[in-house]
Amino acid sequence: MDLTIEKSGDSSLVVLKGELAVEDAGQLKLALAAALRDGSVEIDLSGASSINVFCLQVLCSAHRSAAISGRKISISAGSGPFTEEVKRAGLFPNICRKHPAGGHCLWMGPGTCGEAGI
Amino acid sequence: MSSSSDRHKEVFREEAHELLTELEQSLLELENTPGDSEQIGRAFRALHTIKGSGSMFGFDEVVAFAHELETVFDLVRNGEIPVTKELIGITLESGDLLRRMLDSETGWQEAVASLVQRLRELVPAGAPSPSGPAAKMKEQKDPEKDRDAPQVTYRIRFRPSLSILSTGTDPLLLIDELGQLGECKAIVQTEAVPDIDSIDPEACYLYWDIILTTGKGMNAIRDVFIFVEGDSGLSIDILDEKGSLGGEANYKKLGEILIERGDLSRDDLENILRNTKRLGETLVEAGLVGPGKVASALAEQQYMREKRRTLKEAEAASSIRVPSSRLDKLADLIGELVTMQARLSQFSLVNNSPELSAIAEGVEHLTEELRDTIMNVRLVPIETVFGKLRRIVRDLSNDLGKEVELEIEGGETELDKSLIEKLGDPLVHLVRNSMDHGIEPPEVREACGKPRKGVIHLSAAHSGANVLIRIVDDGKGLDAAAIKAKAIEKGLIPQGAEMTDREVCQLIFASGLSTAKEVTKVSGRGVGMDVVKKNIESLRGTIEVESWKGQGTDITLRLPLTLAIIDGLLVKIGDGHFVIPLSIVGECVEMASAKKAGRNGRRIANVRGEIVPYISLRDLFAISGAPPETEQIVIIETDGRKVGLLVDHVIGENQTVIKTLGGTFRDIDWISGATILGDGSVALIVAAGQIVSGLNAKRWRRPPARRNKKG
Repeated sequence: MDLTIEKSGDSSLVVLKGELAVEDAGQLKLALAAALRDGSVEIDLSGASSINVFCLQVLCSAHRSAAISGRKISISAGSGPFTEEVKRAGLFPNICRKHPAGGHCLWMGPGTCGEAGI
Repeated sequence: MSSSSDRHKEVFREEAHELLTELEQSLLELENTPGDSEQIGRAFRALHTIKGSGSMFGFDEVVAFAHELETVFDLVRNGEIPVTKELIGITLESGDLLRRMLDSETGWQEAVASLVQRLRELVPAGAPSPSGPAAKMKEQKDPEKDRDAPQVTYRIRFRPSLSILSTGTDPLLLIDELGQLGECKAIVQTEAVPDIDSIDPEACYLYWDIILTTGKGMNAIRDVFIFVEGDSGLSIDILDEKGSLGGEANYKKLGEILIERGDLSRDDLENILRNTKRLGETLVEAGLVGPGKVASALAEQQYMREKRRTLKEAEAASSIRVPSSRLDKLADLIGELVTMQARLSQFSLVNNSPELSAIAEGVEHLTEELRDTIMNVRLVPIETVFGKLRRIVRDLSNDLGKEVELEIEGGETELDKSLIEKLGDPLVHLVRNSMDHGIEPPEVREACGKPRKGVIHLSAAHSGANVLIRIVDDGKGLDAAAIKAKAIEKGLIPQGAEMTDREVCQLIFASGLSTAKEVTKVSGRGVGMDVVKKNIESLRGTIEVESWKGQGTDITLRLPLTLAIIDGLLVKIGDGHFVIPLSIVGECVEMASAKKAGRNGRRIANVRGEIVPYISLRDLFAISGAPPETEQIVIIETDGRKVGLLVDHVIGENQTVIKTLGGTFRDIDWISGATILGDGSVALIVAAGQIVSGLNAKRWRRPPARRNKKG
């Protein structure tokens, strides 16, 4: 996994490239936790060649933290493998609604969720 | 990243080795009971797990090969191939090969090709042929076959254990596998995922609700989860059996469907249900069931639910995998701590400060408890060693053309892991010896009126602070006369030595003695039994043999539970300190010098009317100087006999951290190690059991105790 963080003001762009394997979940957690402390986070996954479900779980967790602390987190650019894995894992838009933190749908991106306003 | 990946690979290797042992055990059982479906299932599960976990960590060749084996065992499971000796043989070989594949990257490719060939030959024509490495996890589904089978829709809730990754399983692979069975819809549940600061990135918080329609049956679904079912939550309900989802009878539980769809929370549902009449109340009102019976049924339901929930939770958290080197480190540290604590206690005594004494006492209690806890953690069931012997007995039976059954008893007996590691070789040697020299060929046995099949009975049991391991065979027994003749010929005992048969039997442990007429590849070279004895003694254990000609041999090993720290009795002789293992000490009695010499100079003490022979350690260790007026006899019990050890003073109990003696002193008799005392001085640990049995065995060889010699 190749992880870079670009900062502008109080928002960070986390760019993830290559293979996001199960061993990378730890590094991803630390990076996202740090980025969320500073402000809003955008995640660019367009260069991700594969993404393991444990990494997806970390993204889900980051999303949850963001919703609780009122920060914004979004996936600015997805990728084929990412969408594949999201489907494979059975992550659906309605999942986000279930959590008290609510918020927009992380997985499908704004506007693609099928549920206006979330 | 690489180190984390290496760690996972290492975990997989360890797991796979354990699973291969499991496979081997089931195969050996299966050889005795070829139709045992439980064992077939056990073998299948082991292979399936290796395949499943291996694919996650990139062990592609291992996965491909395990797949070939699994295919064969799938056919066995379905009754399409019988369990034959050949099948067991090939599978055992394959297991060995898998071990090699796990341990090294090269040197097995040819063997794999040849075994794969042989495995494929086992599969009858017409059966689905094993597909090559490309198939790996994905068994081809046969749509034609599926269409004919009745389609059933299942609701599956799969809640992986938090630590599922540590067992080498990617939960999504399991979901994928379900997808291979039929039409499948999986919905993940994320509510348990914690926030980013508290998430453990390698724990699995997700769980899945899956709707699957398949004609392959419940067992096929269970097979997918076969190797995680123990730790993970899995529930499978049949939603519809007729293939048409319109069957209303199965759709009564609207609330559950809504919960499953995420449209209603369980709390809300329960609130609503609370306000409507419950089934129990309705039944009571209708007079169909008495209120007491309803209450009882509800209590049972609640109890079972609670029980299952706590059991599941306990199971999930009940064990973790720790590298054994860390346990060794812990044992070392506790050893240092005990030594340090002894210094503290000593210092507090010298300083005579009540406050310091209280602290020292507190530290002593804590250290003792800590020591016991750590030593407990290191205990491993002896089954791990016994299991290996099954395979050896099987292979050797074939090699020697003998029929032997290995009976195992007390495999759950626990021993310190370092002992277990060192016990393997001696036990293998003893069992090989029993098979080679003890058990007769089937024809000979029949001629003697014995059953064709010989029996080797292996047992382990706790006995105080020791573990007794016995290897009993029903073979031809030892020939005491032949052993004696050989021992005389080799100069091990003098001509005309008077010995009981039992004493003669112990001579098999003397170096250079083998009565086997020909040297086989198994044993008979005359090296071995003495090495076995040395090994056992280096573990502070003893070995004894008893034999009945024509009826069999009984070899008993007595080993301490732990090697690192023992409770000892500190005694003093002259200026030197010695430790006697407390586990064998019965009592201490005073002995006035006047009473010391018994009749005819024989050393026999009268303890409350009981006659107890004793040995003077001062004489044995040739310590100069005069003994005090009143000496002490420490009475020890070994092999049911009481023997006294005469010492100058008994000082008291001592937590003894055992240090091995250096190479120079390794061959010293009657001393099994040393320990460091609180004041920094060294005390030797007396190998009491060895002294007693050694004096018996050696009295024909040694001159009487070396008195007046400086030690």
